[in-house]
Amino acid sequence: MKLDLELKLQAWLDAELPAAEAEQMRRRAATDPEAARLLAELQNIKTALLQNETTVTVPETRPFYWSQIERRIQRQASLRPSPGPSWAERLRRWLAPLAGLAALAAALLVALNPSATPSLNQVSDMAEGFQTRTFRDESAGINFVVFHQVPQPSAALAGAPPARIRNDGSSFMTEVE
Amino acid sequence: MSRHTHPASPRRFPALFLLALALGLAGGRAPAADLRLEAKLIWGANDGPATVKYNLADPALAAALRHNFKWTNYYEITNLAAVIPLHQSRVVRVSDQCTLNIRNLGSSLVAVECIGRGKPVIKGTNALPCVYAGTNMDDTAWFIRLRSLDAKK
Repeated sequence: MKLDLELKLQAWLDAELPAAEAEQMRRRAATDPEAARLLAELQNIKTALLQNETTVTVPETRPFYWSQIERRIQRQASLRPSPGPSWAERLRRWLAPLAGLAALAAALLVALNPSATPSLNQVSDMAEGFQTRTFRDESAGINFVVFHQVPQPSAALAGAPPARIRNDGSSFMTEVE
Repeated sequence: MSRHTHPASPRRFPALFLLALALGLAGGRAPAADLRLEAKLIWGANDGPATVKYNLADPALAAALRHNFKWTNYYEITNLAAVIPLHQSRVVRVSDQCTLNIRNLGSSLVAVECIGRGKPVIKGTNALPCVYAGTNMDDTAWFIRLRSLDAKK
C-alpha cells in the first residue's frame, strides 16, 4: 500500500480529513481488503493507547504546580556561575587606561619637546635712525634680524616732523610723517 | 558572592608600568635649565681668502648666509661661548664695538640686547639659532650667529 494512502487512513481515523476525503476513505476501507486490514490495525493501536495510558494526578492546583516549576528554574539559573566578562569588556578595561596614558604622554612630549619651540623672531625696541627687518630661513632653520642705519634726511626734510617707529608685530617700520 | 580586586592586582600592572614609562620618557626629554650658548662674529665680504687674515666660516653657516645675503665670502672673527642659567643674563663682548646682553628665557629662547659703541641699538626676543646682521660703510657686513651648543644643528 502506498504511504500516501496509509497516512490518509490514519488521518481519517483521527477525524482530521475534510468530509469529501473522509467519504472517499470510508468507501476505500469498505472495498479494499488491504485498506480494511490496515484500518483495523490502526484502530487497535489507538484503542490500546487510550486504555493503557497512565493518568498522573497532581496534588496541587494547576497554577500552583506551574509556579513551583518556574521558581525552581529561577533558583537554578541564579546558582549557575556567571560567565566571565566578554572579550569586548576585557578589551575596554585595557583600552580605557591606555587611552588616558597615551593622551598624557602625548601632552608631555609636546610640552617638553625642544624641537617644538616656536620660531619666535621679534624686535621690541630699536634706536632712532635704524631700520630693521626680520625673517626666517626655513631651509637653514635660522632666524635673521637685519638692521642698518637710515641715511640722514636731506636739508629739505630737515624741518619735517621726526620719524615715527611702528611695530607691525614681526618687524619695525619707520614712517616719515 | 561578590568578587573584590586587590589594590596590587596584576590587572593594574600594565597601567602603572605605562604611566612610569611615560613619565620616564618625558623626564628624559626635559630641557636643561642652563643654556650653553655659542656666539660667532662673522664678517661678510667679497674679498678673497688670500687677502684676508681671518679663517673662513664653517661651510654650513657660510652657505646659509650666502643664500640670504649678497656677499660671497664669510670669515669667522670671534667664536665665544657662555653658560647662561635659566632666567639670567650674561654680557657677551663679541668685538670692541659690539656687546650683547643675552637673557636665557628657557626652551631655546633668548632676549637679546645689542649694544654698539656703548649705546643700545636693538632689542628683541629670538628662538635659537638666530643671526643678527648689520652693514658697514665699506659695503661689507657683520653677522652674529647665536646658537645653543646643546642643539643638534
